[in-house]
Amino acid sequence: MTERDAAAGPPPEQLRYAALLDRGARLGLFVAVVCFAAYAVEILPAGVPFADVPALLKLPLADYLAATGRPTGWGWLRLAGDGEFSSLVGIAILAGCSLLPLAVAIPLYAKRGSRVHAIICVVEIGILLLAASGVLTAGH
Amino acid sequence: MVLINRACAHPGRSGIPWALLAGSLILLAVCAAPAFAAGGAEAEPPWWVWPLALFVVSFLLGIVAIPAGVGGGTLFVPIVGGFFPFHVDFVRGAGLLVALAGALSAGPKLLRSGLADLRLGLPLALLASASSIVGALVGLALPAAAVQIALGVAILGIVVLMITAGKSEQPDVAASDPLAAALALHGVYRDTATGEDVRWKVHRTPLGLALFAGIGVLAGMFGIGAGWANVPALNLVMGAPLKIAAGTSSFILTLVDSSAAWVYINKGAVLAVIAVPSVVGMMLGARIGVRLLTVLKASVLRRMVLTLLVFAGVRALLKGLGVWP
Repeated sequence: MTERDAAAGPPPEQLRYAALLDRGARLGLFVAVVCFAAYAVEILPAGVPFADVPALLKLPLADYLAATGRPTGWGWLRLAGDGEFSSLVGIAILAGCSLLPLAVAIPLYAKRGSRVHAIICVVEIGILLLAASGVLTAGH
Repeated sequence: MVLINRACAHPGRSGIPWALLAGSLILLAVCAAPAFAAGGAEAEPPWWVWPLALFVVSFLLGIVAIPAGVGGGTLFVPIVGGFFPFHVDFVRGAGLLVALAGALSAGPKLLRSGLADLRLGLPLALLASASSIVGALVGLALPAAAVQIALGVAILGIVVLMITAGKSEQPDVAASDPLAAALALHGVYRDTATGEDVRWKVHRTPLGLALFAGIGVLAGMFGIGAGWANVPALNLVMGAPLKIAAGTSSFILTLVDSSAAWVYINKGAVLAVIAVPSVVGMMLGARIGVRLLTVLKASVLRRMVLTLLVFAGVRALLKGLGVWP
């Protein structure tokens, strides 16, 4: 790989990656904040009564899940209409917004002859998908 | 980093951050009071007190943490975990999102400017993100007291690292190692301070990869991000210039914190009522902090952050040991 001149700026795959990551992050933050605001002012229904929230936040995770009936894994998606869970849509976008830039970088790296970095992007996508799938946390 | 260097040229007004620190500590003491009274369900404050308090505390932490070069999660987890009556599992889930949001906020700009390098960051992030999943799973399986003790030790270790670790603007790397050469871990960036093009390369790549695997475990286990460790590993061990190390660290965090955050989300440990106000407060505070850097000494900010970290580390340790519940 030839070294670029600094005046030419970062390579195209890096610029493309940055642009997509920026859009995903902005979208995720926007969705999370709007949904939380709708939850706080009770436009969206609260899955857990507000009066119970302070006491529930002190509980260990297992006790909290038992007390609220909150689903683990992707079960929250079924309840995304509830205020508490609607913000998780935005949070999931934040946690997943690297996937698209990584996928777009694969052909760009391959085209530049940098197969190693293309493969690293593929494996990183696999790791993120594995973490997001809930397979590793199922059954606990 | 540029901002920090600029700030060093503007001495004076050191009373402002210490007033912020005092305000933060008073607010934390107020927040901690209901925790001491835990058990008195009738004294429970209304629910909106907690998101509001989280927003204010995160805002104050954002003012000092991010401009001082410490990720938001590094201060957020021990301080909120120590002084708010929330279970540490929820605090770590929110801490990861605070760290992730900060990295996502800075990462794209740094990639566009060339101060973060995608080729350098990808192999390191690959190992660190895989190991952060392991760290998150282990952390969520541990008892809360054990997590608090380990967190206290880790935070105090970070303080020691921050005090003792040096930094090198432009480390002398005689030659790339074979792995760095194979991965093309070299580049050039324009230093806006001098207007010169700076060519760089790295060495000790296998050691760097091993370090990032360990850093990922800590990041996932404690939900504190890992900028405090990424930058010394990239700069002092691998020989990346300080600006490239700091910029690439932000990019790496976008992947490391994402992997670990998914574990916390899937376990049900990410609660919007804690995470969203914290993320928003931290991001707004960081904007103010970056502006304050033009009038404050970076060394004052650094001392203040170190003070907060010592305070939070000791608190976590004592909480875990049951000395200061």
